[in-house]
Amino acid sequence: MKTTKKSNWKTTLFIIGALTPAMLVSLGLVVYPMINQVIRSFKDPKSGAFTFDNYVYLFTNKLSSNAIWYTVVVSILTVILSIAIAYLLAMFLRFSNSKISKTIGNLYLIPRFIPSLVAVYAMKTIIADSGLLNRISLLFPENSPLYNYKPGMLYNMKGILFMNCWFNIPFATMIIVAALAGISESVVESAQDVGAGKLLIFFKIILPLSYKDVLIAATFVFMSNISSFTTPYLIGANFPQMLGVYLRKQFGNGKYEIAAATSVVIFVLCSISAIVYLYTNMKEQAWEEN
Amino acid sequence: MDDTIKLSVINMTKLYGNGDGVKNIDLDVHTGELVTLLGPSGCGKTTILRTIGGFIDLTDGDITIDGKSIITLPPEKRPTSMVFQSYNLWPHMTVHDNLEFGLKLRKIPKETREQKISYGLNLVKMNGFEKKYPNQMSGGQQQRIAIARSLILEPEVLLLDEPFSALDAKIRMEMREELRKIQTDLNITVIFVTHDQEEAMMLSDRIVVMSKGHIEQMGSPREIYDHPATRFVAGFIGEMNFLDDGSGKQVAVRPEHISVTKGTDKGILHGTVRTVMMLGHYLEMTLDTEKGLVKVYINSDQADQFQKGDQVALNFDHTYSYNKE
Amino acid sequence: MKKALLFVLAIVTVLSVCTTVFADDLPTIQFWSTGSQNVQDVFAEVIKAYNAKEDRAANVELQFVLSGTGDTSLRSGYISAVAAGDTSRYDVIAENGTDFLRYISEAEVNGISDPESIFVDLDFSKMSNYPNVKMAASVYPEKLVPYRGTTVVFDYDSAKVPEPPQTWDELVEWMKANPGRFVYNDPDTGGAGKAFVIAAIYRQIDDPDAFKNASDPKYVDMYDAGFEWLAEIHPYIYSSGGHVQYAVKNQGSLDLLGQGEVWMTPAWADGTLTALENKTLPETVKMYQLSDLSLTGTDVDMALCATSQHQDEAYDFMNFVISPEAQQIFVDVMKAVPVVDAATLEQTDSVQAVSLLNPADFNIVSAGGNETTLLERWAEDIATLN
Repeated sequence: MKTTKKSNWKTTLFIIGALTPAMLVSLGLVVYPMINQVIRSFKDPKSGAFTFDNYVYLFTNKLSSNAIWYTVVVSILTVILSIAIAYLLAMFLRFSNSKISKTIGNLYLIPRFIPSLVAVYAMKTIIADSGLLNRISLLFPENSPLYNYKPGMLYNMKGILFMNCWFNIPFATMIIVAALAGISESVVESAQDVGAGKLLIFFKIILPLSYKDVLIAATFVFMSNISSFTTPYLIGANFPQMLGVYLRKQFGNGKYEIAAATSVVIFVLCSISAIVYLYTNMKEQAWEEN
Repeated sequence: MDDTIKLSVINMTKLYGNGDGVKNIDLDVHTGELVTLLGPSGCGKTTILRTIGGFIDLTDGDITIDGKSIITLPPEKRPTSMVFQSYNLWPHMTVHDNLEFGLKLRKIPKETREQKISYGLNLVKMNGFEKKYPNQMSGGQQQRIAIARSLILEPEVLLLDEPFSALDAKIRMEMREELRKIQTDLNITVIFVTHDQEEAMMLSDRIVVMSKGHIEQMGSPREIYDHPATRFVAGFIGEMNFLDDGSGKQVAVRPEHISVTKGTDKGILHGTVRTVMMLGHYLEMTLDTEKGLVKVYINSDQADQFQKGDQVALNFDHTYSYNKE
Repeated sequence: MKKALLFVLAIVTVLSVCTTVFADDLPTIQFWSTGSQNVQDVFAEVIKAYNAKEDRAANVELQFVLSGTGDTSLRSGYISAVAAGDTSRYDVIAENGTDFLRYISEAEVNGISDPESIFVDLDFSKMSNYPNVKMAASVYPEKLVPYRGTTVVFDYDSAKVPEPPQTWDELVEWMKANPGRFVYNDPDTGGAGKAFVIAAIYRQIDDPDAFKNASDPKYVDMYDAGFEWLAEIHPYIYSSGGHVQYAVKNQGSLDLLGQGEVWMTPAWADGTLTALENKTLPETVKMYQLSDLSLTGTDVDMALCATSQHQDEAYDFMNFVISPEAQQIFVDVMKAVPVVDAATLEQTDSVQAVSLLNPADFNIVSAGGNETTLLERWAEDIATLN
């Protein structure tokens, strides 16, 4: 123990040295424009004087205030849905040895590699009211309840959530599968052996041993959806819009100060989840120490 | 140990998709008996243990405890408890919580739980470790806790799957002695899986020697050692010299059953001394004979009599005969 | 890992060597434009043809900003380049005529002292093909060279609507009789929807000059009647999942028309013709205008950037763009209305199809600086209905 402590400052120095170039680049490319945006968000577009008006507008205007809560709601629902499904999928991949599980294990990451624009357009042709599902339903007899089924999933929250799940489940599954891989078979079997059923094993053994990675996956899903653009732009409603779409509209109309304030709001929302991420990552419990 | 039969494995078969597995296993274990399943890796010993524990479904046959079939029960409903090779303990729980988990599931009141926990820790001499996490203990300490955790649940049959194989030799020795002591003190029925014949010899009331999915021989350590029923058992248990007799059969003789004299006038086999090794109270000698290398043990008081290159004559006090493999 | 890195390095090196080998002594002209994929495709063709010419004055590089991905970045990018005195990146910009108004107004907002000077006053004598150009730029004729025309029309599926409405009033009647069968795209996401909204609003303004001076700020106060009309037709617009939905992007309306979900929609003429040729629209789809007021069209122009270091070479390229050879490409590839007499071009199917659209009938309107107000008000008043 003592010898490792001794070399600690050297390690620290090495890490600082190795990280410096990256830090400098991110200072220039991330921090500086960010500060610029923050400053601009407090400026009056005409006089350039300091003002809170942009934020007042953002939180009182019907379009923008709706965009903020709508974005938060969509992101939270996306996190809940995709993490829940990813967890189930990851458990299946980890604890089942069936052929289906192996096949899914090989395929589940594919959506990650499809460009989002392509995926959204492709999904549109399936779930549109005149899409593939509808055309299949037209094959049913006319008096059947399935005949001429219209999914009604486009241009509302359902469609966005569906698409977000498509994008985020593979990523979340990947993280959770890695976490579950770290749980040894005999840890689960010994719990089974002393009398724990499936639910108890999940809540008392698997969840406590993997919640950290699950939280990390949740944070990343949340962050990427707060600022998402392609999906809500292409299959979202005209109103309410998500912040990414709203932000583009403000840029398009040359409202750079409002756009800056919108960016700051997005940034603050992301920071909240980043703080959750950092907190869970840094908090090491006694049983995790080495 | 008494005569009542605690566990019966009846004509049990478990085949995997690739054709491996165990076939037609019959085994009775008496109350308070410690039975070891011994064999090389892949022989099916762990498969039998895991079917008893409920972690593997069997293809055919039955398993009973106290006369009642348990094969339809999931692991959590079986009156068995298992200790695995490693990673038994739940890493996020303290020793106390590890021991308490199973007791809580059995709805045992708090006070009784605490009594049982300290009783269990006492059994494995781990008092005072209640607040430790598994990562704060050595491998041997973790296995003690794992055994205590199983014992305090008072299983009808305790199943141990090579529990000591990941430990250092010295700790392994201590653990065997302790396990044997606890087992006889509490009169519990134990099935112990190992590939280490020495461990099996030390611990067992009875040893079941297995090979390629079937039982080769069952018996007390003494019986197995003195009367190996098959060529496989003869070769697997203890040291044995195999000599072709020229008629398709093999003569087998243990090194301690060979007497050696200097010169070439007497004896049924002759050879030259190749190596002499001092192993404490006895010597191990390898001899070049006309039937190949032969290993013999002799008392260390004869150590000065033999030098490398000496011509010697051999006599066999006791031999076995097997068909050539 | 190392191998992969080396491989990438090798490719990068080869590529950079290639570009140096192929680059000759000619200067490079950065040509910028924005729009849909078809605009990018057509310029890729035209520039390929120019760069293959023996007697070209420069090599042209296409810098394209796909609309819907950040079309504002071209405008703000150029203006910040002017402000920063960066002369390396912008030579020629092509945009809808009326969009150049926004360049000038944005240059003013960004404190550029003589905002109109961001584009050069042209010497038309340097373009030998210019006398053949029949179309005039709608704004800043001294700075802009029209290179194609385009207009928004009504598309309808004649299989489902044998007798389309002929006037704006009949259109409302038709929508009410066929709820959910009409759609226009969110005006913020594409010009077709914007043209429809502008026509709908300005026709309600009681001033004969309203269209001509559409960018006059005084008209902003007279938008109420137009927005009331848009609110009135709102319930009869296409709906999905129980909610009215305006299409996203020009293509969104065409998709709905092609899928048979709507029967009528405003659309760009060139987009419609291309879709008909690609069979993404059924051949029963036809184009027309309402008799009492056409949807707006526009000239699409090139402007010479004040920051260009190669102005003479830029003239040579612009001269090529308005040549019969390049005009043929615009018509064949994107069904654009040519700026030269269609009769002088090779009579392909495309040329015959577009010659039905007469640029003289184009209703060229620019709401200019009023456009932002109009789009914002649409988002707040119309998109939020339901």
